[in-house]
Amino acid sequence: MRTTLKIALKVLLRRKFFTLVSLFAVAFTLCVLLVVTAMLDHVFGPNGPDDRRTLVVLNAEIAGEHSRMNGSAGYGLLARTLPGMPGVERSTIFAEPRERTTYHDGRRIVCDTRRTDGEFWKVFRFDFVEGGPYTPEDEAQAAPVAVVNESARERFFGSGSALGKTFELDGKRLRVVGVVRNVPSVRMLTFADVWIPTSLSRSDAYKQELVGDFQGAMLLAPGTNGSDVSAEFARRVSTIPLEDARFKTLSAQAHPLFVAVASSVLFEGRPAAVVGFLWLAALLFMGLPALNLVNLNLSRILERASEIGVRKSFGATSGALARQFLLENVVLALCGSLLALPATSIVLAVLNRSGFASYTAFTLNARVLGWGMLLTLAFGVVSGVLPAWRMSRLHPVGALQGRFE
Amino acid sequence: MIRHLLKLAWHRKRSNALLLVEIAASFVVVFAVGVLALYLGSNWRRPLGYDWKDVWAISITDERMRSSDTLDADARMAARLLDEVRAVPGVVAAAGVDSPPYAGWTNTSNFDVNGRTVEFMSSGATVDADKVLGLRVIEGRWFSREDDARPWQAVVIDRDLAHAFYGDTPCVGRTVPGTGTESGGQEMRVVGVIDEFRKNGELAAPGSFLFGYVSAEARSGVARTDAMVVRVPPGAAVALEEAVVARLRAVAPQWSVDVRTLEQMRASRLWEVCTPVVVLGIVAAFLLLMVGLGLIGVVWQNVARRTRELGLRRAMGATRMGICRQVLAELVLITAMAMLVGTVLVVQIPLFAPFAWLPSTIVFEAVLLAMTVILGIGLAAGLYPSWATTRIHPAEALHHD
Repeated sequence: MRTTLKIALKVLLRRKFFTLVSLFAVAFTLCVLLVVTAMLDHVFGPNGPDDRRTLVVLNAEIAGEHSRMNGSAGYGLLARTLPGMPGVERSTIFAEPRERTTYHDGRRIVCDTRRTDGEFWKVFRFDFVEGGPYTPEDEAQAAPVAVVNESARERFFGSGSALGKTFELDGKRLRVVGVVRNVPSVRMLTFADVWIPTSLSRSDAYKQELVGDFQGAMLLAPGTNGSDVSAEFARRVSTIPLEDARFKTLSAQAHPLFVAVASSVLFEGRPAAVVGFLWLAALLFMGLPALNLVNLNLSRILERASEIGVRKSFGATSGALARQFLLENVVLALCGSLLALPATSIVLAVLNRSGFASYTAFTLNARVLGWGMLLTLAFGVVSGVLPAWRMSRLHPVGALQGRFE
Repeated sequence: MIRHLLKLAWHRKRSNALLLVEIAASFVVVFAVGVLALYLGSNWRRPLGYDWKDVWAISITDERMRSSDTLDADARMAARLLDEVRAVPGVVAAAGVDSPPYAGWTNTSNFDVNGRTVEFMSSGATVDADKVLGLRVIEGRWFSREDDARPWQAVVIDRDLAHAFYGDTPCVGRTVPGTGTESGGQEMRVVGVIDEFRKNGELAAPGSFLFGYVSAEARSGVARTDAMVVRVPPGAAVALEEAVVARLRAVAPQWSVDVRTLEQMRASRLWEVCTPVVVLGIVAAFLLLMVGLGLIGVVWQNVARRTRELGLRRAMGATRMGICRQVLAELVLITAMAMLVGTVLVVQIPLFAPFAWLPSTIVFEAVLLAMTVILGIGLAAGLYPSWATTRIHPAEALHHD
């Protein structure tokens, strides 16, 4: 093993131009894949306020023979299904954020505003800078209170404490009870600039809706099997009576966030298919760079011909040689990944600065690095198998004479 | 010459095949980015049909449950809100429009006309909407109060839709095909034709558009719109916006009011469409750089491997240029074959239903673009290695092992 590694390094150092080209190819490929991984992790991984095991309900659909309505779940559907779910510690119902324009001291301020219940603050753990959340009682009494993020505090009140100060939003005057750290706008369950009680609404119409603009989240108790809860949720949905005669079926599903999003876009709630699809996409993207590396390696068989001939003459099996060449390629990929890491953090820093999504802080954390390792190995193997196989099958006599095809 | 080159290439078909696949794949990548960029570019150059500067879009929605008993009251309230906005000092003009330019929502309809399906977007609109949005009426007129008393619903269509409905004949006063007596539905009659209205903005696909007349007093048709558009003086201050919103909230506390400028909506639309294309372009550029560098390496090795053959040719009297040309010509041959494979692949794309919207001229242009780029990369990659071969001395080459 040590000799193999030594040979691998010697080979890499022998022809600098080829090594540089290969390293560039590997580093670029891994950099793109790592950036995508870091973004996916930032959107779906456990971080920020929702860092615990939850199941979420995003969409609902009611359908009949001639009509169909789909969209986010309605408050009515969630209120009839989520409370008292076995295996669930707490559950919350909250609206999708909506942009609201307001005028404060002659300035125009646009805030993403989310209506939530009081439980929201216990299911998700926000980082309060000052004050605290509003309570379920506040929500029940439609108290005119709000939690704002640091950015909104800055825009409304400048620096300094905002507790007890008031601002106008959508025609109502609200009192700030808490300030939280900014949540990245890609965290789709928790993000907002301003959070207000759900009941601060112009009418109660939302309480009846089966399809509307709400989402639900259930915090699983430790040791609970998520699929049991999903099944119980589906059972409860099926018992809701449909009053509108145009519609026959009502459907909504509870899943972990990543599965819920992926299945609403692509698949019918099959997590394995979603993960498989992502791997397929990654491998497809690796295709061209891998082919590039394969061609480069194949064209270099000549360089190694005498080495292969000698080793074969002394009894090395094809298998041993193929393993050696494969390992060399994996070593190359690992070296490339060392270059890819700083490149990735530069790209992520640029993305964070560009403001293409507010308050994001894409980072290379341990999870992303783990995935990066797996992707590196996959790339090393995918691009190394064919040349290794071809090299190991060279005929010893021909190889020693410099005939190689 | 070509037959000779083909024979040489065929001798090394196994390694050439993989090279060919690589170049063909790069060709497809360039083609894909090219199609997107060319398509967006061609959309950008088409006329927009309206003026987005100094216009606001205000959504006015009633958050209470909708029911049939409140429809009349709602319509009267919407009409009153419009009058209130017009009365605010500083407002130039205001009108109701269901889906304003750049708004996220659209209403799309399909009509069967003489056996063909005509697809178009539609929106309700009130009087004055042409003034607010700067629409250019090319035949007939925009809606006016006299349309209130009609037993049919007045509509204004754009040039594309006029052509789809009636060919090149005048269309003012004619019934929209598929509406009216024979179908039993509400009859629609054309009162005017506008030049163009590309609701989804500069980069969106060209499409047809139909405006239906909306008025609280109309005998037929729709009574109110969900949004209004307001023209303000250039550089209107935030104070005007605040005044308008305050007036609306005072009159209709039950309604939800939200103001956006078309300028903001346009910027976010453009950003949404352009970002993926720019990212794709950057990734593709790096891919091509990588492929180009890889190609240099491969050609270099191939040439080094054939030192003997090329040296022999030199010894037999071939010139340096001749050798150089041979190496380049072999590379161009492989590149050409790869481009052929790639072209055969990509010209299938417009045949698939999901890509039917793609005009064939754009596919053609993108193929040309991809050919140029790939050929350029191939030649650039071959330049140094082919030049390197000319430095080989024939005598040395023949000794080479």
